[in-house]
Amino acid sequence: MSPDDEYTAYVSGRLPWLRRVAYLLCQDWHRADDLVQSAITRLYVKWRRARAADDLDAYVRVILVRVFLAEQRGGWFSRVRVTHAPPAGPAAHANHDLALDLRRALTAVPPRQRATLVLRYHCDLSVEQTAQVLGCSTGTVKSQTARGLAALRAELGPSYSQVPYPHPTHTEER
Amino acid sequence: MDTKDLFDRLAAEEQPPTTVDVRRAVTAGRATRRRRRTALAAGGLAVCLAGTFTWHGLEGQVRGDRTATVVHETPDKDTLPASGVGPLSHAYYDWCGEKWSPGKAASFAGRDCVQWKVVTRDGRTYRMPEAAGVYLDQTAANYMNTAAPLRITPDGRRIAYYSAKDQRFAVRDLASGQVWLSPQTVSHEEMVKNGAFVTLSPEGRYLVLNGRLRAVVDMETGRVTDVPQGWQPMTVARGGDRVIVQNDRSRYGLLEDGRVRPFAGPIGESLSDLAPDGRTVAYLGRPGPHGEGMNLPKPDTIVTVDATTGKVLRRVKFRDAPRGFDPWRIGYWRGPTQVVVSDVITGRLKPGEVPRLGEIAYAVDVTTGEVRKLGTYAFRGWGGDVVIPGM
Repeated sequence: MSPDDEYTAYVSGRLPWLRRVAYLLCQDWHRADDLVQSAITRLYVKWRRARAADDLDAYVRVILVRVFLAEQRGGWFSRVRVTHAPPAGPAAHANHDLALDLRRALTAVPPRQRATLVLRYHCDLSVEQTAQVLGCSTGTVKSQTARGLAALRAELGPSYSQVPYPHPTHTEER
Repeated sequence: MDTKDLFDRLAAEEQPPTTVDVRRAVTAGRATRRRRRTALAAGGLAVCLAGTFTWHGLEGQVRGDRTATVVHETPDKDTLPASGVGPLSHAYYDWCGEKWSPGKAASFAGRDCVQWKVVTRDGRTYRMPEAAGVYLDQTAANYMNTAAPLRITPDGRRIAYYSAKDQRFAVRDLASGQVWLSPQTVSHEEMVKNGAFVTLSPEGRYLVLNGRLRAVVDMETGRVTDVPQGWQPMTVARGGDRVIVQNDRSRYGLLEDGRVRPFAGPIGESLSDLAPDGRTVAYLGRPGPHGEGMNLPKPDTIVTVDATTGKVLRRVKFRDAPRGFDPWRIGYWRGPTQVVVSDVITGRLKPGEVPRLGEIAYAVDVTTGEVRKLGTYAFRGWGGDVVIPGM
């Protein structure tokens, strides 16, 4: 199998996962697709190095999160791809109101804090792993997590207030 | 519900059909690799990084500040105010009214006259330092590319230019002072080397980026529409949904809903903007067969084409045209039947006098061929350029 075939097979297989992570980062499927498109383009450029990585998924996740954060720093993103395909319809969801509330709440969380929460609570990364992805210290990850959760609490109100405040690594600091 | 539940619920949403295209990523990735190799071979990591960044600007890494406000740190009465400016009559640059040798622009460094000047309809002239003007670092190899492009909407209220500070194209509303920046980054070096061709939609919202960028940008929302491979965008209609494109064989086409409908045959002339009906375009017709070269016969007809079919609608001979009428630019429509063309100012030069350069705008009725003078846009100098609104 050629490197290009390997790349295509890997990306095709992991596309749903990549889109899901991108969607959690930005809460918009169209933009999630744009993020993934950018990330897999970068992945192709670095494919020789990426395929030799111990954990390819982790490698790609770093690219995706950094693409997202880079665009946030730019403050603005939009692109139209000319296509004959009709626009995608809305995704089916059992509870639209709840989904909308959750999305709105997440949108209110600043991008870097949001990325921290996605990495910690969706990707189940440790503080150290999250710090590695974001290229920051573990202390920053902790503070970003705490602030992100506080922002979520403020948005979601009582339905979310039962969440125990996370102190996952206080002992590690000593 | 805890944090994990929250993410699980969102992640469990059914995914809509994707627009992610793995083949496109491969194509774009290959081009990036190629660019990096070329840039490295050309001589340096700095060039390589710049090339890579530029490529990403084209292939989806579009980002940037959406708007900006012009702030002059040391405004003076000659500098275009940040806001509250009335409609423009025209813009020009004049090389300070001095003689200029191609490729030797550096001697003008530090002088205000290398900036674009804009003239309001009430006759005030301002320098526009935020817009890149004359290229001081041009070389003899690209001496024809003397200055960064500038465009004015037909109503004179918006202006498009290259912002050297931001390395992006900008559209500015002169009354409100709001500036919209294009998402694509273009380095100054690239502007000097390759030049750039931009046009604005009549209302000044959509910016056409010709050349390597090959895109139409909705400057107010930041949406970028790529033009299909093999075609270059030329003009965009009001509303941004129809774009006149051209390929390298002089064939025009209409880009709409992602599809290019080529015209019936090649047209070796510049096309006007789309008419207010959204489908008619015009060009200047010349008598008899002619080839390329300096001895083109003067245009004598105005030809209209239905852009949706690419077929000629009518050819009408000019009527009441001034003697020696030799229009060379065609642009916007003043109404459903009048298209604007321009001719260069000609005249005898008296000894010791600085020439009067510029253009004269005319309205041509495409149904009757009647030619009517609209105005003269002139400046004194040995070189330079003038920009008429909508042209």
